[in-house]
Amino acid sequence: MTTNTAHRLDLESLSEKAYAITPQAAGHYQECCMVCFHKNGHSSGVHLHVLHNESDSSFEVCWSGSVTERIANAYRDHNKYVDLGACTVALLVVPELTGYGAITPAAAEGTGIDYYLGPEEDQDDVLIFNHKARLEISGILTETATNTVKKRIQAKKRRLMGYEQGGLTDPTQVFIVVVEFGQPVAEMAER
Amino acid sequence: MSNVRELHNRAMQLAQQAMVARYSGSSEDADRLVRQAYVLEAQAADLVPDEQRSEPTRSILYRSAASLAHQCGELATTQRLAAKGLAGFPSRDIEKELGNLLSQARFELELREQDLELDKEEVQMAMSGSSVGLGIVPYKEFRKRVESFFQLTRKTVQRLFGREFQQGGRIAQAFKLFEPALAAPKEGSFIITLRFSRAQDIQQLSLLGDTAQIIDEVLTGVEMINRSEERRLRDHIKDDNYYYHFVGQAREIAPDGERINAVHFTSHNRQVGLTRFYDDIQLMEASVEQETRTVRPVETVAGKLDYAVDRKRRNIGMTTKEGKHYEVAVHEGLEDLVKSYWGSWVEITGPCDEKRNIELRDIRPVDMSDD
Repeated sequence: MTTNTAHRLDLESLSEKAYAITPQAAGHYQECCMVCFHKNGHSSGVHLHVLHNESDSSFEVCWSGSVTERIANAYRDHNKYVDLGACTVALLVVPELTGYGAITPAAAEGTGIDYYLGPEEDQDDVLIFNHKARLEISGILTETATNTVKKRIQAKKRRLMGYEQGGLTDPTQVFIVVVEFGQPVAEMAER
Repeated sequence: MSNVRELHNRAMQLAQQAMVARYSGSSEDADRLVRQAYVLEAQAADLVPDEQRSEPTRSILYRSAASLAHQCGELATTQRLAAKGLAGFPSRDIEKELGNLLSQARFELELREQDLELDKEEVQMAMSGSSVGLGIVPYKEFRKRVESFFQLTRKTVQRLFGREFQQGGRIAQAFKLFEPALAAPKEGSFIITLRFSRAQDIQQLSLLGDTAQIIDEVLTGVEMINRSEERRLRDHIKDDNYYYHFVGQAREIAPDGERINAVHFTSHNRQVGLTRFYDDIQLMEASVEQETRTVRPVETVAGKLDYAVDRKRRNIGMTTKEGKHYEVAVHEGLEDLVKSYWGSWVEITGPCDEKRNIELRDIRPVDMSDD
């Protein structure tokens, strides 16, 4: 396995790097991400390992400001913040690892948002999702024996394989990213 | 704004603003923004040519528009948009999501259109999902959820009476206040009414209120589980055994996300949906696992629960496919749950020693049929 030296990941750069995310939403995503790290005792500068194929990349995750008790309590019973925190990390890391810089969101079941990635130069104004990769993102606040990054990736891969067996094979490339905030570590798999 | 990209980008900006508004507690603003978003997204979808080469863009946009319409309660519009997406050439995963949206919207419209007048002693349970047809649902899916709901109600009565958690032995007659019964399902869907008829005279009930309060207490707990508010539920149900019993049974009622997407309860004064999936609900919290992890390594073992070991210590035996025997120590609050898996193949996770004694932290059914 190859290990790369640490790159810097600024949470504040989300709005600038993912222009489809509004500054207001990006601020919310960033806060969710900070809360996830804070709840695991991490502060700005924490090193996140990202496993992808045979590589282990290291990112130094940085942010400004701090998580106050008031902010942390506001997320106490809020089940979506971990997934939004994972989105923040994924949307910053995946373009670094894949070279796909254009991110297009689309609403999904429940109150979810799916993300599609493509090269920046692809600007078809009608078939805006054609030739894009789908990004499936999931977050784990702290890994436990029953809730692990590997299990989550396997579950998502099983679900995608089920779709392939059932009928038309979907040629869309899919990146599965699971972010765990305790170690912290992220793993990216592809279909 | 006239092209697909512009309309879609504007719709997504509004959807994101709605998301932030919702988290800030401004649900009226959120609804208004989502409503604007779905109109624009539907316009974007309608501009995409209806031909195979338009996929996956066409179906993704219709799914997006249908999801947004569903978020603001526009159920007829959700159905229409999902149907339009399905009428194209969606890929399997998008097809499934459009199908889920269509059936969920149809199901909720049905619930809404019912002229419900439920008695205070009644609660209605409705299930939706790919395995639920018109007036038909697989027996296994129905039975375990109804039984789990009855279990929740029985234990809630005992808890509210201040009775110490009792797993084995006869329950004193004084605590058998209700005889649960099922009324006939509603025509054309799978919605059943659970009726809690009084088995005792009214004096017993007046000690803790009436049937409606018991049902309300159960639904409050289910709602907390659905919102991932296990900490609040823990503050509410202070006794360990009652708490784990509640979480265990509520998880059995939860949808699996494949065959069953949602389970809804309606009482005379409220509606509670359980849309959080079985896999997302953990039986025992991380803190418990962390404190035991340092003593023994945590393992996950698959086997059949096939022999009793020690009734006093509540241990049960499990045999793996390879014939290895494990002795499983079960928390008192989870005994009901584990008993329901007797004779079945399960996956048990917990701290395990070299003598194959495992302390149950999680139990899930597994399919051991050959491929």
